[in-house]
Parts: sequence; structure tokens; C-alpha cells
Amino acid sequence: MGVALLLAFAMSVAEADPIVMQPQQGRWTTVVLCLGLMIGVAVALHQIGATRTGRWIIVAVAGCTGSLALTLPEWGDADRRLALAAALGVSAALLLPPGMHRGGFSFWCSQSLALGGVSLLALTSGFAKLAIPVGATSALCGWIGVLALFTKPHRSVHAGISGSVAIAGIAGLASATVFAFDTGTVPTSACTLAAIAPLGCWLGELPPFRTSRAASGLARILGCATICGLVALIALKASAHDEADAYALTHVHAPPSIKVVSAWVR
Amino acid sequence: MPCKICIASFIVAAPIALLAATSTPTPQSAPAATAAPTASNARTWKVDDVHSMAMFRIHHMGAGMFWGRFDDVSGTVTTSGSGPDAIAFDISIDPGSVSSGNDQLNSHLKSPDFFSVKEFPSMTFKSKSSKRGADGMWDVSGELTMHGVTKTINAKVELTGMAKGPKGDAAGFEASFTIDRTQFGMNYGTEKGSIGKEVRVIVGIEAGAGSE
Repeated sequence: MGVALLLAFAMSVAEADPIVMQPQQGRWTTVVLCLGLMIGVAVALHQIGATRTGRWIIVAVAGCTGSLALTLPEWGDADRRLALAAALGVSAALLLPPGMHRGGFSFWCSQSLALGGVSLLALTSGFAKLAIPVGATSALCGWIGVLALFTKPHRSVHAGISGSVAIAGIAGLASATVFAFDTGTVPTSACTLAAIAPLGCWLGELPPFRTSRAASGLARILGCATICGLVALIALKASAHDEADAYALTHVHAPPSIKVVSAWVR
Repeated sequence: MPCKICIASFIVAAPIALLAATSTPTPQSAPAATAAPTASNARTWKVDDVHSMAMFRIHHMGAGMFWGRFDDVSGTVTTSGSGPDAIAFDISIDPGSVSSGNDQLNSHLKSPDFFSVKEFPSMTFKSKSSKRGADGMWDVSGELTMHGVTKTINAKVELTGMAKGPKGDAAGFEASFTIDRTQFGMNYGTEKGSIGKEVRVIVGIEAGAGSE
């Protein structure tokens, strides 16, 4: 599953900014390399150990690996990069239990919402090239969730080790990238919240909800949706500007429809 | 026989006229402008960053022409050389000073979608050669480094005026050139044609040098 998410992300990145231009231009695309490293390590180590403790260690090691290769402006010094590596490792490891426990609609829907929040954050910072691949991955999560509705519960689609690493990695690395390139409008709190947004699904693992499948699923979605909403609120409030909405309408969406153009002509 | 006053006037006026003709470039409107700097009167003019800026124009959504500007332009202009055509530019522009009149758009222009100002904090132009045409304008060729890519470009440069101020001599230049931004790795918006590839740039420079 991680490989599928990585492919969706990487293809969208390549569409926005050719990866062959590295490292002279578009160094932000090292996010793809980092993500690939993380998933590669996860898949490779998974062949060695499969116990519960082993899985945690694999995911944590994989989560750390990629961020150490990140070459973004704000992540140059060793201390910062190690802190990011540790945070990504913890985040990926924490996403493993809900990712392995119960797959299906609720997990993928919650992750779609979490990544949607990260995408919105990137868009708010004016970084559309990043918002598009994260949005594409979010859409893929949503589609997997929809497909899960048509499978039997015991055959649910689990995120697995590589899927957990991929989701935590995309959320963490994309938020770090927004933080690295933002020139002042996006608060750090929004970046931090967006990075941990996938962990909102832990709400469904808490004792009051975990006994009921429906309650757990709803709580998962609610957990991620709440964090996503908070990210959106903080980011949009910070960039609130009367003219900003008019600008966003012009630039974010597709060119005007024929109907609109006809109205202008008239 | 010429009178003594006429001879005295000539003696006083000749060096002044010679100095004015050779030490500084003069506007193209003045025929004396072709009297060019030589190696012996090399002068370096420092760009006045308050009175200098760069404007750029690009096609937006296939409809209007969008104009933006960079407020922070610095560097030097050297008027010296081996022949009458010599003029050299070493100009630096801070892409973080981009201004469109809209804060949200400014953020977008500074992001990796466009100038990626945190990654590439400076744009530079270093001229390699210049030649003054019959119209009095210079054809300046040099290397433009933008977005981490260096390309050779050709610019038309006009001397817009000369003045003597309290801080010394001042000279004004206006350079214009057109680039294809995709050659500099700046592709955002070109795939679907929402933002044009060609960017017309006009750089207005006022540079000063101490009085001679």
C-alpha cells in the first residue's frame, strides 16, 4: 500500500516539477526521495522481522530514515534534522496500530481527511506544487476507503507497515516542506498539527469507542477531521485578506467555464 | 586677431567640455553622448537602491498582462573600457522584494511555485559585452542567473539621463529584455497555459558616483 501511495505522490510531483531538474532546481522534490527511502527501508526490514515489537521498530527506523536525506532550507542543521527524524519515526510507529488493527472505510477516510488538511496548508502558504501531490494522495486514500465499503469486513484493506510509513511520511515531510519554504503567512502551530493529523485516528482506539466498530470508525474520522479543521482554521485565519479569496478563486481553480466566458462576452 | 577675453574663455571652457564629454556617459538625446569613456576615465557607478527597480510583465490566463515589480535592486555600473561602446553591469535583485500589490499573491510568487526565495535568495545579471548602436542604445549581452539557472541573455539599455546632485554625479539607465521562464526551471502555470512563458523585464536604474 505504501508503494501505491508513493507512486501517486511521486507522479503528481513529477507533473508539477520534473524530478530530473534536481538538484539545481526544485530541491523541494527531495521529499519524493525521502519518502522512497522510508518505504524502501520499511519493505526491506519487514522481510526480516514480523513480531509486534519488530514491526514497531521497523516502522520507527523507516520513519527516521527519509528525513535525514531532506535538503530543504530550514532543515540544514543536524539538530533540527534529527528532531524531525525522531518525530517522523514516532509518528509512523504510532500510526501502525490503527493501520494494522482495522482497515476499511473509516481508516482510509480519516487519512484522506488528514492529508487533505496538509494539502490545504500547503495551498494556504502559496505552494501549489506541493498541495497538488498531497491532495492526490489524499484522494487516493479516499478512493481506497470507498472501495473498502464493497469488501467484507474481514477482508478490509489494511495500511500495513509501508502504508503507515507512507501516510506519516507524507504528512510529516509535506508539513516540514511548507515550514521550510513559507515566507511568513503560515504559523508553525498549523504545520505541527498538520504533521500529526493522521494520528487523529487514535481517537477510535480509545476505550470509550473501541468496543463498538461503528463508534470506533466514527471516532477515527472525527479525530482526523477535527485536526484537519483546526489546521484549516489557523492557516486561513493567518492568511485572511479581503483580496486573498478573489486571488485564490482565480488561481487555484481551473480556467473559467465556457458558460462564464459567454457571460463575460455578453 | 582674437581678443584676450576670447582666448581666456576658450582656455577655461575647453577642459570643462572635455571632462564632461569623456568622464560620464550622456543621454542619447545629446549628440555629445557618443564621446565615450576610455580606459583612462573608468568610473564605477553604485546603483541607488531607492530609485531603482525592476518590473516584469507576463500573460495571465490568456487574457490580461500582469505587471509585478522587484523593489530591491543593487549593484554597479561601470563606464569604462577600451572603446566607445564599453559599459558593464553587475546587478543583483532580491526576489524576496517581489511586489504585486496583493499579499497572497506575493506569498505565491515567493514560494517554490515561482521564485523559491528561500532556496534562491538572489537573481544576478553580469554583463559580458556591450555595443552601442546607431540609435544610441547599448546592446548588452550577459549572464542572468535566476532560480538557480544561468543563461546568456541580451538586453537593450538606454541612458535615460545624467545629473549633478549634492552627492555627486548620477546617471539613469533603463534596460529591457525578454526571457522564457521555463528555461530557468520556472514552469508553474505553463502546462495549461494559465500563465505565460515569456516574461518581459524592464529594469530602471539610477546610479551615482562621486564628483570628479
